[in-house]
Amino acid sequence: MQPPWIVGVDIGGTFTDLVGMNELTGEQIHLKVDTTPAAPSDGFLVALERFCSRARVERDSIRLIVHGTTLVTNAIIERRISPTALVTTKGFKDVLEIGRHWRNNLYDPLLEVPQPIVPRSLRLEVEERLDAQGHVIQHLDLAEVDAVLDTLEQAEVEAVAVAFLHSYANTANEEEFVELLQARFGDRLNVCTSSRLSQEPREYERTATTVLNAALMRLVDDYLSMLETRLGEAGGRAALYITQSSGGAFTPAIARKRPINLVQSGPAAGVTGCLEVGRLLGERSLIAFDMGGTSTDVALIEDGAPRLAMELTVGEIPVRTPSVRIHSIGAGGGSIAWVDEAGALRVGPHSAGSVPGPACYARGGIEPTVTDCHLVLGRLSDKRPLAEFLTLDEQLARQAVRSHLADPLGFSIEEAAQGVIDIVNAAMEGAIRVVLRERGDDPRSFALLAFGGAGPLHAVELASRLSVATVIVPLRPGTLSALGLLSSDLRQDFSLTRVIRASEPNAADSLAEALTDLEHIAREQTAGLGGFDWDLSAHDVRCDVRYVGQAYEVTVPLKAAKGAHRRLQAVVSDFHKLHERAYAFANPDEPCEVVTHRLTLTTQLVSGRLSQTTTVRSPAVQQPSATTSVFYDHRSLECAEWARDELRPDSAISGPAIVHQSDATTFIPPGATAAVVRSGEIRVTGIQPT
Amino acid sequence: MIEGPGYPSWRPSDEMTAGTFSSESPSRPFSDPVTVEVIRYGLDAAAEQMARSIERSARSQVIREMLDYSTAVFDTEGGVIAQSTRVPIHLNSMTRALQTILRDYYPVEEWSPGDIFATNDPYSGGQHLPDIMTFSVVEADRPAAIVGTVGHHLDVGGRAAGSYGADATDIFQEGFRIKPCRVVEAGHPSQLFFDLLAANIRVPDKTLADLQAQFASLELGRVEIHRLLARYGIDTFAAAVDELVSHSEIRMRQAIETLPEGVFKASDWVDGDGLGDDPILIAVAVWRKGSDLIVDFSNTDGQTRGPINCPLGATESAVYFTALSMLAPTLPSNYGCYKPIQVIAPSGSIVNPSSPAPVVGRNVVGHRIVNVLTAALSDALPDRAVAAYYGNSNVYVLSTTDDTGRANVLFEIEVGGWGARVDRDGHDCLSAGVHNLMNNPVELVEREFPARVISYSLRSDSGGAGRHRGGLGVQRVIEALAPCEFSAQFDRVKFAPPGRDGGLPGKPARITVLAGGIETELPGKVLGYKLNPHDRVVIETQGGGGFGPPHERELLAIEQDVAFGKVTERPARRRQQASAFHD
Repeated sequence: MQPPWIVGVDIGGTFTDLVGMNELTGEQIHLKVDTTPAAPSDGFLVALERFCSRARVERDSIRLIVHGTTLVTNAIIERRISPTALVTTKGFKDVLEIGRHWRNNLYDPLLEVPQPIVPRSLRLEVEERLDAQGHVIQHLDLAEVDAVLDTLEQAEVEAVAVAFLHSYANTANEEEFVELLQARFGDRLNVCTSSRLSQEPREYERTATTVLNAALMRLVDDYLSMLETRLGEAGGRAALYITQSSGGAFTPAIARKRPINLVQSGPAAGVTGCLEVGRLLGERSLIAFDMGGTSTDVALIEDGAPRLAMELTVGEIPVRTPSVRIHSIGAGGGSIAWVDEAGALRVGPHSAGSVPGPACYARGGIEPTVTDCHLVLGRLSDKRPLAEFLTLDEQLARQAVRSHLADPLGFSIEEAAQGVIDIVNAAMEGAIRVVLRERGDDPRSFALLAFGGAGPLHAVELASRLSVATVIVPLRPGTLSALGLLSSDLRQDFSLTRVIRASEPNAADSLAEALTDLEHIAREQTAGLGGFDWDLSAHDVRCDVRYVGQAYEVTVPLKAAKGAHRRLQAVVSDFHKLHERAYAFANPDEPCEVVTHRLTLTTQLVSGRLSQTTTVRSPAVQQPSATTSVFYDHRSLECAEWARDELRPDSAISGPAIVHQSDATTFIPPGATAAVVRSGEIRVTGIQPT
Repeated sequence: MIEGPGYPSWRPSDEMTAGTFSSESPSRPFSDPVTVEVIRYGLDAAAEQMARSIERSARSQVIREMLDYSTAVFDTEGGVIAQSTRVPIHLNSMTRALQTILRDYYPVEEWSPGDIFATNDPYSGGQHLPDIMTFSVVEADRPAAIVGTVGHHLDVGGRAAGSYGADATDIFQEGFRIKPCRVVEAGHPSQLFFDLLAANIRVPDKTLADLQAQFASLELGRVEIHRLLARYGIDTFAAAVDELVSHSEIRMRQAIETLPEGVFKASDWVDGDGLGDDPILIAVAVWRKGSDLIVDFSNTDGQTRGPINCPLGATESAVYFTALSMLAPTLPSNYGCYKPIQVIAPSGSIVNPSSPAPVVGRNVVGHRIVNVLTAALSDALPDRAVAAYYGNSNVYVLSTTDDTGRANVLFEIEVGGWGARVDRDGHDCLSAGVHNLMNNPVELVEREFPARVISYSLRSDSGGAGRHRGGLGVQRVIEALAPCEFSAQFDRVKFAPPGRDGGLPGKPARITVLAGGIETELPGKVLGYKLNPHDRVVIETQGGGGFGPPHERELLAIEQDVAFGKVTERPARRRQQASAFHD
């Protein structure tokens, strides 16, 4: 019999979260320990030990561990990466430094931009050239290659990135160079070629991605080796998987080759957690709203799948990798409110962070933050510690709001605090509308799923501003990412760029051929990944299509169709429809072209879906534990207080109400009603648009 | 509804619910700071959503890769109240055009929600002919706001492909001129207008598609502003807008009052107008009068025969940009920021030309205004001082005709080095001043145009030496693969970006053609230079000026410059050796 437990471990900036689930009984264990930034595997092991003692099991009772981590993101931002060289086509070593010319701040004359990952002295060139169609214009100059290899011998680097112009159209020159490189260096250097990472044009983005990937290989290899060793101790025999930016998991072997795919590992797992909660509740379109101390992450789930992007940005560097599209908004519980020199009330962009933190933390912060305002309004309470250990000081919060906001504005303390909440909600509303607008979506067709420490405090009012009718608060908002890890699929993405104009006479055949080639690539690359049932017939295929000359493509899912011609027709007509939906217009007479062909393979890691039904076992209460006074809509209201642990399925709550639990507080304003659904989530309805 | 293939269509959005508009304000007073701030976020989100819409659906490379477009929301008098941050020279420039339309052509009472107005006329408040602006009104029970977009179009006709006629002597040679007009009336596009436009431009499919993207963006802006009106009522909305504007005005005045008393002057030379060799003087004097900032161009030269004249709208934008950048870079930017600034620009001068002077290269002067005004304000604000950046939109255009007779145009703007700052080096090769652009990826250029980019690299030794080094310019070598014509609108080929406080100037720009083993240096302004297959153009852009005496530069920084090959010339090495000897 296989071991019954599966475990998700998410290492974030502050906490390492663990969720364990017994596949036989459905029992779940959630816990949090401190992250150990210097050696993240320490915190991982501490969490695992604690899990074992709480579950009263040995390590060998764990079948599977799925892991999410901020390791790679932090390493990029802090530049804790390998010294790396870059080899480019002659004439293009500066592409990495020139970038795209664009500055992200229009006015600041003292603007700073990040230094390139590879300094100019380690960017080398070789004579070789392809044209845009992939024809070899010039073969590798072998004498020059030798000279470059000699230089690399001297250079003190651990990794080499190879990015030749137009290699997306023909990999021959890159591959030949790598063969020569490996003939000389063997395994002494980590090597990464651009065409193996991304088969799409735009040299800067592809080069930047390749360089980062090469520079991260050592770090990720060391980390995973250490982790595998430690997990194997004490009888441990769990299989380890790592979650990628796409939300799908992959094996450590692939993670070592593609460390860049880990950039958004933890946050993507949060979105997977939302997906899972949505699945339990039958909600297929969700705004995933994760509000923390310094920032808020927003992602969209449409028709049961997260909105993906083919590129993301980390530390101002573009990274081309399939990823859950997560937008970060610079507002959170720690955002500081202030009155400017001309009497305007502003919130952010500065944050008190966790040190000194909001005034009410009594850690030396004196400026009023969003969290202080919640305390002043009665939504948080000095009687209920935050995150189990942090007792809040209401007097300090009131003092900060009074002296910095209320007095200068001539407002009451409560009015000033409510103003701050209104402004933060307006800022987040605007940011979410911009996110939705990128694809022309209407917020009214979504439900809002709130997690993170501060999400459930704002969610219902924010939903009201967005005309969103339903808010969902998961059972444990604080460990949703770790839960998401447990529901990750194993996933592999493949893409192939081959431009096919739909109007060409043989377009249908070209499309069929491209898809066959793509399948071939997928088959070849998955051949080495034994132990999994990669169902190639059930794969997900999409095409990026655009009007001729357009910059961005619309991703069109491919439907089953009889015959190549019908399939092409379906792609074209779906494209016009999707374009109309996204951009408010379509021109069916305009020529369009298929650009990139994408294939995704997924296979389930965990058989069956998570169910939380067994986790709510407390005796039912039908009465609130207490009442408290909350300031809302310019007046003071009597407000019921409910303890989350005491709510049982089918409990119904009318606003105004507060539901508190150790990792979050949910505020339900008057008019809205909340019900606890069978699997334990709170579903808030009756939200009136404002 | 017009039905021509590829013509813009127009359909009011069904998202625009016929909401009820109460004139009653909700529970707070009109100009309550919370409501004002909440509405500000709503306006900014509207402008930003409009920008996203254009960015993702435009067709031409100018908009799609180079992001040469902007969107904004205005009050009913035409003052800008929210703008998406894309291109500084576009921003407040739309205000002057819109105010001209409202004052001289169509008062706001004559606008109805299904109408779109357009202009590209530099003498009606526009910039230059490729920049087509479009506007539409948002109404509740009365006009409440106007939404606007501006996009740089690939070609609007005229004597040169890309509409960059470097030898044009009047505006009639520069392209199709759209005086302010109603191009869509009550949802019906004017067939006459679009027929005329399509017949007068080289790549009508792309231009019309980009216009369509601008129209869709306006509709989106209307939906978003409508939401704010439905939520807050038009009276509260209008009061909040007034408050936002007066707030920015107060903040701007506070910033101006930090300037010391005195008149600060600076001047610089433009190489020439492309037709003659005479340099042109751009001179500014700036001082504060109370809390007003006076920016006086009285000593600037008169308008030129060649097309580098800078219409008043563009001159003002350049001044506003520089003032914000030097005085209040974080201020919420609306027309309140611009109210305290008075620009004295004599009519008939190069900074306020009279019709029909040609203007397509107006950014030559626009950037130079930023350079001289930055220099003057740096004298007044020594702890924020900056040396001159590359100071020009280095526009070049390659054009060819394919086998079917269709024109194919490649349009590119190259940037250069930033000026060194008081406490740090200038950036190498990064957008500065009144534009903010993205370059075209080489892999896309080569796919769409018969040319090969041989190299694209930082231009060593181009940054001005100094205690802090000016940023490097860029060098690009392009080989023609088919017969092409090359045009360019460069400047600072003769007059380099100056250094500051003893810093040396950056290297000036240079354009060279290599044909049949012969190297020919071209002037900065080129029209239709013939290239045969295998001829090469070498483009080198300006480095930024240095800051402080070069001998004060830290040895470590010099060593790094040399190690990175950013400095290869002997003076730096000698200085390095001397320093090493000293140590």
